[in-house]
Amino acid sequence: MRQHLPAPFVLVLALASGCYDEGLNIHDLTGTVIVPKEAATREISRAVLNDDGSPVLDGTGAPTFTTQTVDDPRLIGPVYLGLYPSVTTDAEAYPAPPKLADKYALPYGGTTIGDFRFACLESLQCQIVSGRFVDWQGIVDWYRDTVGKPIKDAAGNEVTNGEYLRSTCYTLLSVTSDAEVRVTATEDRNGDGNIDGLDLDFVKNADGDYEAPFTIREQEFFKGFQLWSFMDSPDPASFKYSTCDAGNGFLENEYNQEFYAGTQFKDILNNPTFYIQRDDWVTSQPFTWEDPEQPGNIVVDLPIAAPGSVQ
Amino acid sequence: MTSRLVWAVLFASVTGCDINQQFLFPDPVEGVPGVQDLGTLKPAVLTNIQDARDAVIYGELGPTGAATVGGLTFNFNGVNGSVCVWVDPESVFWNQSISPSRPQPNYRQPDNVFDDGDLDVRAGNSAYYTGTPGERIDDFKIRYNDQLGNPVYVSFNDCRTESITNPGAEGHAGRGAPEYCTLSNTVEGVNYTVVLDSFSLPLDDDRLGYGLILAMGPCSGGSIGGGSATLSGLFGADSDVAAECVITGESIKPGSDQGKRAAKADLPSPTWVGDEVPSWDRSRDFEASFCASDLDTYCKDERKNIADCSWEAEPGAGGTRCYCGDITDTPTAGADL
Repeated sequence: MRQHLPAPFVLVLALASGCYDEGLNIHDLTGTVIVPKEAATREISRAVLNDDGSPVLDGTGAPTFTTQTVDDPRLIGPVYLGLYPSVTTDAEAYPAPPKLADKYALPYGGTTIGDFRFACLESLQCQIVSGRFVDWQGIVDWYRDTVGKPIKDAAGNEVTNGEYLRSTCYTLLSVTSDAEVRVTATEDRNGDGNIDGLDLDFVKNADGDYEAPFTIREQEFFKGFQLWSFMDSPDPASFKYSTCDAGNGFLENEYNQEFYAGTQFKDILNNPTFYIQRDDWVTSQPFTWEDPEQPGNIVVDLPIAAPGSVQ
Repeated sequence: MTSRLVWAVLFASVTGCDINQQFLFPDPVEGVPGVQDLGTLKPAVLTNIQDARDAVIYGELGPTGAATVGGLTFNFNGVNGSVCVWVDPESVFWNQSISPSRPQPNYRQPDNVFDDGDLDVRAGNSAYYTGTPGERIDDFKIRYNDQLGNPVYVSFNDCRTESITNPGAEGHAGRGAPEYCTLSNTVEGVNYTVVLDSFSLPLDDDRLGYGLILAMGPCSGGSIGGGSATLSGLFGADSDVAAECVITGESIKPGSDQGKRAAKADLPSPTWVGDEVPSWDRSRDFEASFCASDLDTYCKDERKNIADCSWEAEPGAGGTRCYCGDITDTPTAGADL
């Protein structure tokens, strides 16, 4: 007897095979962002302290300070990437996406390189960006030795050990691995067998600038749209970021603590010029995307002196 | 045999196109519109609390009987300054506090969750409004072609409302909570439309009572029409709790005739203005207890003195409406009730 597949089976097989091309113009767009070394360099002044923690005073009784020039990827804040129909200098002193009716810019999509993470202590609210710290002790050392703002725990005592920070996060977030906290480096991205500074988002290139790859996933592609970006730099005094909404995000509400971890404002790509502040950096030459297979490479090369102006 | 099976599958697939889903939606309530337009209102000049109370327009909204969103619209002309829209839907809602470690004493008693509804405010230039007043609620979205010629739909809703649970963050106030927004710098000669979406209707009777004030000046942070205080300032409504007492009495008894002042103002029925609103007994006292953070006393008193509360269904003629919930139908963990 001749054997053949029943028709309904064939129909189901055809539908389930996934071979039907829906004609969606959606792609994973990739590229590279370069942040100049100047954007990751800052003069940081710190009060000189006596052994007991009191400030060393000069002849007039004023505290004395030391200043050091720091070049460090931990000074690179979140880098926001947006795809816009155009980028102009019509409304601002620097190139920026135009706003419709002076309200909002209208991006097609975008992403960030680095986002605000909950480092589990209120004193670190809106200060920790993913992909910037290699390990927990690096966070503690950065704030104590470089920034000059030692991390304080919930009781106001100085945190000197990165393990304390880690265990606090594990407890508060109910997790058991660093990868779940997403504050420190946990992947050997460059495959050299070590997890170190070369596995952060931004890595120094041959020119001494910082370079990071990005992927904008499942983006509807419009020929000619422009990739533009800006970098939010930490405030010189508080080391917090202007794009961080301190009243939102993860709510820590346990025992004697009640605070929000902070998270990105939700309209940053719609209203970037509102958030761009002094010391932030923007892209002066947006990348015009003509082919989704083409990598989109841009440089965040224009420093902002004050809101609305360039240095 | 195989071909019959294929036909059966195809037939079963296409029959899904004609199923009447009407049973999923509550029927319209007679005399209570699902969609209503109040016409053109004039922003009131408020200088004291009595002015504000006299300016409240009360009304009721019901189900549309279909999947379409219900709600209320009205227009006003720009005043070359700010205009405040303040609405308070029936009635008062809170989550019962049952935490033994962080109890909220004022919220230890349960709410009657069957008598609350929600109205959400949007407003903007009438030229952008795509709904049909009195027939269909819609949005302030317009189609815009960007610099690459791609169509984008942009909302021109000018209302920025704040979340009650997360002040400062944008969001609607939520169930039973007053919601307001300031339309800044309205332009004389330009017509503005305000839309109040019936986001949810009370479960007990599908009739959502509301109170509404349209006033000159911002709702907060400035002065009202030459007066010395904002609407929230007049009432000391600097918190979500106090804001509940700007408008009281929006729990409206069904079956009442339209108010005379409302009819004289050419407002469509069912509406009332100021103190002519036929509020449910004790509803104002209930709201006052909420504002005074004294729900515990009110609810204990209600439980002690009111015998036949009707929660899940609207009480019939002569029945009693209770505003606190059924104490026997609440979690028992921790709270000392």
